[in-house]
Amino acid sequence: MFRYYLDVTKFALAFSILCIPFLGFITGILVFGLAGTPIGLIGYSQFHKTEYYTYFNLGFTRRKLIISTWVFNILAMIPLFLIYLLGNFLFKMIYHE
Amino acid sequence: MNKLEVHEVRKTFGKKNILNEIRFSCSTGEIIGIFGRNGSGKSSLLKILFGTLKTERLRFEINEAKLERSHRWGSSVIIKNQLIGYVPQFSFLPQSLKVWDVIPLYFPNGTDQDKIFNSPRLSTVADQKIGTLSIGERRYLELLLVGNLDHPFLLLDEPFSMVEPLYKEVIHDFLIELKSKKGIILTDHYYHDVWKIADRKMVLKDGILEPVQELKDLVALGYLRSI
Repeated sequence: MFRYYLDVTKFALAFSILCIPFLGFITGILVFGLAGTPIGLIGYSQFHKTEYYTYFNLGFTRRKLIISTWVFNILAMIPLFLIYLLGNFLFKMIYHE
Repeated sequence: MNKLEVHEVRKTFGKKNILNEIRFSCSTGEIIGIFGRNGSGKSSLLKILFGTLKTERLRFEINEAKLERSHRWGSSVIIKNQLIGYVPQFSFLPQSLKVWDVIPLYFPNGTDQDKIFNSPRLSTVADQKIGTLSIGERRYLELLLVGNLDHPFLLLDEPFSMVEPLYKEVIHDFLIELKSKKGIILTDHYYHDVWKIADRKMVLKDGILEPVQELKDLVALGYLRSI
């Protein structure tokens, strides 16, 4: 299951990083959490489609795999926001003093 | 002792009726061999039973529990409850992983992992990536991984295709050992291998599954030109 998550999320992450220069860091995080998973699923279907049968044999339905990945990526937005806020705070503290 | 009973499967692709009168059963201890020409619907039948191909009509039972196709997208009861294992004809293991990384993916328990690692001829390929394995090595590994899971039934799509004779023997021995715990349904164009191993044989022709007793029946049903 974690392997599936990594394989989908690598595409989601790449897409989000590409968005950052155009849309900014906060929008990049939003793109990762909300739209990243569908983009990741398209990438997974292109390059790893047959590997679904690995997970099917282990009892993971497609529905369960996709929902779990999406929920995990939405939750991952929280620490990413916190990292952004912390980075912002430290940047201001160092350069404004 | 588990029993799979298929009462009705209907599948059409466009106007072509691929599966029509499909009725058969498979119990623990049995290997069912299904023959059929290309495009006759053998792989479709296996995918339908596994739950990854939609069908117009499907009625089957496992241990007298009625199972019908799920109407919720991507949520097959068969997959969720691990009732049937399926080895498709294409490669489905993560290509970038090494053999010793794939085994823990299937078997988190150390004892189960040791059982797989100690299988005949596996230690020689344990450090190789899946993508670099030969067809025979890959097919054997796929069979070992899915076959040793706890599903009461196993579907095999072309397990002998393109496999060298020595690996065929290992696969043959593994399936004979495995049938004491599972019911196995397999299909392959390497009909001699299927004929040797199967307890019951059938031919899928014009959407109908016909039982066969002798090799000459394969000729009569148009699967072979001659023996």
